[in-house]
Amino acid sequence: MSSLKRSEEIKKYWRSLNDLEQTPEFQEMASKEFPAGIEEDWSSSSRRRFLQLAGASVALASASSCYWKEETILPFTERPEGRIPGKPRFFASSFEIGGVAQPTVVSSYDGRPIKVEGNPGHPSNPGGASTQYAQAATLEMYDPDRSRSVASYADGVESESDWASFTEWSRPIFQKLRKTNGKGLVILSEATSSPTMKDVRSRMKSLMPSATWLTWEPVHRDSETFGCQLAFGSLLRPVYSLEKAQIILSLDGDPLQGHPDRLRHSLGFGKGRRPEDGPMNRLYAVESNFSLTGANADHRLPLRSGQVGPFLAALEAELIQHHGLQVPGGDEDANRAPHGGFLSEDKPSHFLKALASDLSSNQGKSVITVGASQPKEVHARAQRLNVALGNSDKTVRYIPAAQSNNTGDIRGLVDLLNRGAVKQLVILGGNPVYNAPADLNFSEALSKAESSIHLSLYRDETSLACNWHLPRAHWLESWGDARTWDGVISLRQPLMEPIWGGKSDLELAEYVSLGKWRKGEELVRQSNADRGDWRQMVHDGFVPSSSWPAIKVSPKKLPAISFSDSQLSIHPGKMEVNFVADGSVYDGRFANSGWLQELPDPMTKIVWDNAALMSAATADELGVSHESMVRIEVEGRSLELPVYVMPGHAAGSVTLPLGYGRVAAGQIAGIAGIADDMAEQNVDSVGFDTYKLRSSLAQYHIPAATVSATGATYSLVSTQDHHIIDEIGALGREDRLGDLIREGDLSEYESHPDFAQHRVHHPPLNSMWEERKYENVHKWGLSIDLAACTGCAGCTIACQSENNIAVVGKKQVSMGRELHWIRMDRYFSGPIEDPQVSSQPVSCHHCEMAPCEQVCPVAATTHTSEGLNDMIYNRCVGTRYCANNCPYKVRRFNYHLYSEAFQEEGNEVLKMVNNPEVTVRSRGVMEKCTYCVQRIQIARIEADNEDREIRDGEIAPACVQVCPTQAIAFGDLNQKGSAVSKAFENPRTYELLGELNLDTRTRYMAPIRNPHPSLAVKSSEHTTGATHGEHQEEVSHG
Amino acid sequence: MVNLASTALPEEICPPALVQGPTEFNQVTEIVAGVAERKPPRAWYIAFTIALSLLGTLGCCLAYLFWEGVGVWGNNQPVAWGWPIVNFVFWVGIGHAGTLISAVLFLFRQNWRTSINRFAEAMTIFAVMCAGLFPGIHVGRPWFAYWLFPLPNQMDMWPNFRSPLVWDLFAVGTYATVSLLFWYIGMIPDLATFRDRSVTKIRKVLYGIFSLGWTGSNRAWHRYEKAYLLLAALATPLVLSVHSVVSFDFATAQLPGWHTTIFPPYFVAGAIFSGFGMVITLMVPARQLFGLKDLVTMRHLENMCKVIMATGMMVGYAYGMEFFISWYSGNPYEGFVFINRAFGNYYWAYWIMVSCNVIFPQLFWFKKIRRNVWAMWIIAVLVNVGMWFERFVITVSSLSRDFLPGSWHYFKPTIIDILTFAGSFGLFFTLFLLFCRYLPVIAISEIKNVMPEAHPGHHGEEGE
Repeated sequence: MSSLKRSEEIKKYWRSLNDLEQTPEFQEMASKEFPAGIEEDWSSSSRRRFLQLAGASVALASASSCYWKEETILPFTERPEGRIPGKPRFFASSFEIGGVAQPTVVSSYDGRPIKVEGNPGHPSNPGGASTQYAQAATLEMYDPDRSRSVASYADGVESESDWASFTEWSRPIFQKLRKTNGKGLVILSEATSSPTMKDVRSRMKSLMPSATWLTWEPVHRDSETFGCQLAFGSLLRPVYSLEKAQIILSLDGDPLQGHPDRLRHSLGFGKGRRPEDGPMNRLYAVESNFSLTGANADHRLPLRSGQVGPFLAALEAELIQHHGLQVPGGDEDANRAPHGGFLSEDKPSHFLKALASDLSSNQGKSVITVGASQPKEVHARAQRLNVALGNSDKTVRYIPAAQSNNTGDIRGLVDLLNRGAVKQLVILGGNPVYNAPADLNFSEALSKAESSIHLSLYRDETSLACNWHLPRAHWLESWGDARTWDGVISLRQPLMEPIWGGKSDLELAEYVSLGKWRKGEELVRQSNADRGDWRQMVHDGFVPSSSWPAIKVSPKKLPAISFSDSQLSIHPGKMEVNFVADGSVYDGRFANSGWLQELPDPMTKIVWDNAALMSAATADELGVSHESMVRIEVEGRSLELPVYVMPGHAAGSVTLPLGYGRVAAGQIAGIAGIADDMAEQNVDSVGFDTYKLRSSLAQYHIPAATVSATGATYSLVSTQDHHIIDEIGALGREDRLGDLIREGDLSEYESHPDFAQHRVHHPPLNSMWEERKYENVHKWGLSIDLAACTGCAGCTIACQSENNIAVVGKKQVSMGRELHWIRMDRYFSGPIEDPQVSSQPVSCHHCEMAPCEQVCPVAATTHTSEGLNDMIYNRCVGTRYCANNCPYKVRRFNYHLYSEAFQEEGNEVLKMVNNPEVTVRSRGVMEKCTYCVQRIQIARIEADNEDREIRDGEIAPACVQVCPTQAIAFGDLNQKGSAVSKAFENPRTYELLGELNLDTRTRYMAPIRNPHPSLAVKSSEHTTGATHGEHQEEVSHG
Repeated sequence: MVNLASTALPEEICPPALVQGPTEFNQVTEIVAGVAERKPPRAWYIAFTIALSLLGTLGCCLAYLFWEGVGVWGNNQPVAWGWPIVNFVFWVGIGHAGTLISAVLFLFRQNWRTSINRFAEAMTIFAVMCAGLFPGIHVGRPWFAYWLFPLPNQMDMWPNFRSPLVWDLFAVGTYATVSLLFWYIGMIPDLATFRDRSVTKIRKVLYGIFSLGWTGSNRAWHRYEKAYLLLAALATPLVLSVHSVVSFDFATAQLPGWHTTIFPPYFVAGAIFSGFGMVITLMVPARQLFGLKDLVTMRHLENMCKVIMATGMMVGYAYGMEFFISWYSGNPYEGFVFINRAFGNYYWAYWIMVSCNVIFPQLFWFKKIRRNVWAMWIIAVLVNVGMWFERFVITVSSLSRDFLPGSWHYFKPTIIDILTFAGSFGLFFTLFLLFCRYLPVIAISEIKNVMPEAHPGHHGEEGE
């Protein structure tokens, strides 16, 4: 399905009139005669059988020799010209989450997609990074739990069906609907920015003007759009350029992790964190939950979500009254601004003053971002302030936003259903039965539709409540397009025929309009052909110059907002509850992905669960502790879930991540009593369904909820325990933290750029032998810039996807047996109510004098001539001595046969997810980071073939490639001027545990905080730099 | 108590005879051979049943282990070595008393050893067998464990001789071989006695084979004594080497809490300590059950109590010195490990270790306690418990919190860990009870040598 396919030139042959018309009878006959649909046999057949079938299909196809079906996968018995077996090819594509495209490049080995990366050539993705959802896409595509066929449901009984039966059933129905202008037809789609879908929609509008098209997306930013409307008069979307910002204020949001445009945000933010690259930015965060953005902030103020509005109003007043900022109606607003309450406390008032002075002295170089959970009034005020500060068109630009009203739409749909006005409901993706606001009683309303159809990847909660389930083609299997956050149209091309014969949402929507199936490619091409050279666009993955133009805005007078006393009060009686999209499973759609479930949350480190996050003070007040169960009651609905005590969380506030507690997700995330015949296959749900508390009018923020202890406990599993730590452990951790993560202030850096190298002093390190010099060879090295690293843990999942790292499950993680080759260590320091967070990715350091190599009795881990610490799986007997002797504890052991899942019946398709360049490890062997040695070898072979040296930057291990802030550099230390050798010469670079004389090939660059002078709390206080000062005389520096 | 030899003189001048009761050589033979020839007491059957069922448990655990993988235990990251290695070191330690008693005390002409050496040697052999079991089953792919041996192969692939695990293999292998030979050689005259007394055909044939045609001739005795002396000389350095090398597994690693030079002497002292603890644990009931009180006298037991007290204090010194050095070195990681041991998440294990190994043996200062079989038995059992915990503390607590707090993790054993350890006692006791039933539990010929009757007029001296 390459961009080079010349399908249109192929003359179409036909054998009969039936053939030409593609009648159902003929299709049925053809499908029996030509086993084009061999995929359908995979579920029950072995690999051998598959190859037999594949071989037979070629034989039959060539026997007929006058016909082949377009775009089927053909085995390479006749190798296409220019194709080298086993050599990966790369295709630009994209996928859409919440109406925002994520541009990708997908590698394909012999016709199967293996790894998804960001598209570095895409204008919306300058860093070429990708999200965890892109990284996990291949696992989703090869998920054996994906629906494999059409199914129909009547009275709760599931019966297998096929597309032909569906077509036969639906064609007259849609014909009839067309005759009545589509009255009673309702389409519910996920948020989409697809231009093709827009065309499909307008065709439907013209054919069936009375049909209704609604959108539901549980995680949306509608309040932001409406806020802009309030501030500027039209629906707009702010697009931030953090690289241009000196002062960044994040209000109860997470621009670095939860935001749809977070890759660009991270890249821009990271650029401003390297002190040698010009002035550093300063990040302020005011938030209820401890977000990743808060973790990276120079100053963070934990406030309840409800206090963010008053804080902003007070900030505005401060700017107007004390810094002379001009805002329409500003004086009035300033006079009305709230005061007293929490605002008169020390920390908030100092914070606010420092922030205001920073904002006012950095006009045009500052930016304010607001989280989706804030009401539109707060958004409006923040955006108006952005414009008033002169940031518009500099650090933020406003582009037209699509009309989007998720709340109105879902309420409208339920209303239509309850009125019995829905004859035919077509749900294009999404899972409203699971994630619609609980007050709407969606599933009950759904049963009032005369007939309902659900297109989805899985037979999920919604499918089971509909009359028809149609398998959806995965984005790696279908054509499509969508716009990125800043509006660039990104094309999607399939890497493979739909494994289970699914259709895309475009195809189904068009079928509903026309009553006949059209190919996705045709639809996408029809919509985009005029925009440029089609083949070039498909090759590049985007439509050139298609981004939205920036709209000129001017600030308006805003209606006054009033704040209640409880908002200002420090201890309101009731608890506020906030909902956030989960960092792993998002809104629940990725719940069945083992990789994502096992990806530790960057802040809590929880895997395979969600929990009620709250501060230690709140937990004390409720009489609960970590892992106690609490009951949360909202409007008569209640939910019990465990507590996770999150240091730095705002007191009086509870954060509930969405996306867990699925009951019809699959073998990974849970199946519960759907149908009688599946009862014995029930799988416990992972986590707790917090959607049960969400109501349509309070989707992100519930100001007053009742939270009470139940007395029960629950066991949460995290990859890094910090709760069950005793005093001694906590002290020990605190003592050494400054040596491990050698953080410094900007002022410290400016006076001593090499401060990090002097944090730890030790006697001179000598070797007893003459060590290998690594001259005239490649000397691979890796540098991690902790100043830029945000701790998002994208590297963890990228590595998992690249290196066939097994998923071990909750129980094994609880025993400490996760297999991630690169882990993200996260440490808190300072007071528990307002700590600082430091993150450090740790993987194999490839020590030149590796302790693991000395102790392996069978020499299963040895050094290469280029200094890589290699792991020879088939030599390993599994004494685990190497792991004991590794000071970084980055070696991972296969305690069980974790690849067993591939052998299970029905899971054959799952094997395809494995990277053919990397061995799948067996039980009883050690594994660890290889610096993606397979990628080194590919580059080496390529360079050899072209008779040249390997270029710097040519080799990007998975972690390097995925990193949104480009914090990791990899390359040849012997190559002068290579990124990594430059990084090693940087004065900030230090060797972790250098005193062990291991001569590591992975080095860290010290993180730098940039505190406001009036707020500086001497962030180096917690380091042990001072205690080492006394040794200075006896040690030679440098 | 009747002291036939020296009723008149105080003990310091003339210690009580090593053998009490029997005055005739034949009586000794009768006593010892009787153990193997009579129907064993009911207690033996009960004990054997328990031991055999524990052995069965071990078999089941191993089957499950081989089927499922080492994940059936509680080992994790960072605690990659858990109970199996703790058990290995524990059993190797126990295996120390045998050689010490047999070889070192033999060379130092400590005659009191004669009535307990056979017993202790048997214990050594069986303990080393238990110990040897663990490294083999502990590896991730036990079917390839033989790769640790330097076997010629088509890949020209040798083991990594830099690895302490390879040294370990040689050290324990050598120790097992020499101990077995030493035990067997020493048993030959007694096996011949059993052969001569055999009434059933099968006993005659089997004892006949294993006594290697012993005739009791002068020449045979001459060769025998020479061989025994040589083996004793060979085995003596092994007492020091085995546990030193075992300690290298830890000491050569760079892990804080393992990386210490004190380990070799500290481990050897600990091994002797635990070995004597185990000898008392076994000897006290055995002498009761098999009526050996006259041969294994209170003096023997008391001497062993003294050894326990002495080595216990050495171990205690090592504990203290570890703390001192960790502070004195100024290495913060090293310092943390020891504070963490005593007051951190495994504090309970540490204090079990200290109280069992250092505090309780101090009771042996009191003669009353040294001569009270109940008291000494309880203390000896506690010593065994303490020494197991010592290995647990060293192995697990150091690993669970090393350099980077991000990788810290608590270790919890699984039921399989516990059953496997219990099962190793099954193996040990099954073999031991079989030994009591079928082999000479006391060195008859040596006992006769130290009886006053063997040296008319010369108390306490051994003549050529």
